[in-house]
Amino acid sequence: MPVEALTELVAYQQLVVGVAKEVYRSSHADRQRLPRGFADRLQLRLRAIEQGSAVPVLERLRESGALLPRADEFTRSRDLIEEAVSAIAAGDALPEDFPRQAVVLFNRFGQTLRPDEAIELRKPGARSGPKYTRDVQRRLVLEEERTFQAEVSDIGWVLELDSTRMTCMMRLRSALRAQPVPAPVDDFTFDQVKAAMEPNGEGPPVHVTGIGVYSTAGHVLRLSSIQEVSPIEDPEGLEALDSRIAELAELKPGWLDGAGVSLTLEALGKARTTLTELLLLDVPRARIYPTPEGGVQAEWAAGAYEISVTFEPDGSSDALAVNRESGESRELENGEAAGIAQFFQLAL
Amino acid sequence: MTDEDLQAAAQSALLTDPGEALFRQIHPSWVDDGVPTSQAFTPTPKDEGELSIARGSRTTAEAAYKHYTTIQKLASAGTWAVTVGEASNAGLESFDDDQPDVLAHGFVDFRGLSRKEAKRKGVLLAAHARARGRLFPVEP
Repeated sequence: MPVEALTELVAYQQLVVGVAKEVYRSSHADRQRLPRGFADRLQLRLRAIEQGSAVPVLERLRESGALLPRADEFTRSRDLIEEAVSAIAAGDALPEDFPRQAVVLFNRFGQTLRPDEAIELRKPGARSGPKYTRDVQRRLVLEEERTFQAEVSDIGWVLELDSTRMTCMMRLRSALRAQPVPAPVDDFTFDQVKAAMEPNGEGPPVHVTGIGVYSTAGHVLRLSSIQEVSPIEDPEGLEALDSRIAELAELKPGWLDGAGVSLTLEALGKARTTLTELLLLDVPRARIYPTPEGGVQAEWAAGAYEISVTFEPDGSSDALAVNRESGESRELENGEAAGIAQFFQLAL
Repeated sequence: MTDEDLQAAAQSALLTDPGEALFRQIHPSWVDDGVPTSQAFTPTPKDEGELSIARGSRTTAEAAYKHYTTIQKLASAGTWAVTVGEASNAGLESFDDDQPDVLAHGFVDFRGLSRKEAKRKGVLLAAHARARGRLFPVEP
């Protein structure tokens, strides 16, 4: 189990406590405050990590001298969370009895999830449970909020740095209409951000990771934290990518000798994002082509393999690696950057 | 087989010389930094499984390019080629398919293949064509 996954366990505990507080408040309308030490009644311990996919088993500890209650606000909270995740994953609305004030807490839970990853919430003894994905997280939060938080890994340019307020302004490649977005800096990131501004206020592009606040449309509005700002190894590759994508965006219907439709924004956007991530993962620049159906296809020669990733007009993607000598092929249903990069590692 | 199939079969003769070049004209949008896409070696839906080529035994890379761009008035970034043998090694048969307005026409047969299988075979053909490089216009 990766170390980052431990932060999800902490976020899950905070979520359970947060929902439990609202459950308590709704059933004790006459009380202004929570009982003293309420949150401390939930002590979770990582009992084991079972084999297979990483399955951390969380055990609730008893308070000293007390029996573990069969059902209380915390077990109710756990069940409510599972029901909420299950409903949203199934495309239904948030259940009526889920406390609305606690929805925002889902922002913290799932921040390290990659697009192809999921957290399965299983009750004791259960063999399966509802799956919590990045998409479920986003839809859940947007049931009540106008923004949601998720990890950002993007290319950016630092425009301003305010050392008094410890904030900066950045232009992110994925940001809406390239509007600069504000971001906080701390003692660790200050020097990185300052270096990225040099020499003339807008230095070379940098790789920015952190937590972003996204609009309902999925655009980054601001960063709530910066984890790291680091130089890009291949800025020319990035320029070439942008230039080719812009060229393909200009193709008119009938571009292929009368056949071929214009490329969709979904396909172009997905290709741009994924191919940028791949550059950041040190995957060489792809050759990029339009497809007659309005998608984008990226291709590489890697070792004995020919690798291609097709970004379909609806924004979905898949990858194919074919061994030139044996003709043997491997497919990847989900053409996300991390999976494609692994494809390269296998090929090389 | 239907009468139409029989008629088509009579017109199409299997190509057997493994060294014969099969010329392919590639659209400029399908060439990035001098490298053609594997899509150029996979039939599009309108091709109905027949990847058009010009036969190397009956024309040249230059003549095929000039006919395609000036007579047929279609866009091409140049002539690339695979051979009958390379297509055969990928599990594809090639046929002569004389057509009145198309120079030395033939096709590589993708009929009956699933989209994925056609794509996989197209990748193999493209790899050969890329290794050979553009035949016309000759690279400076």
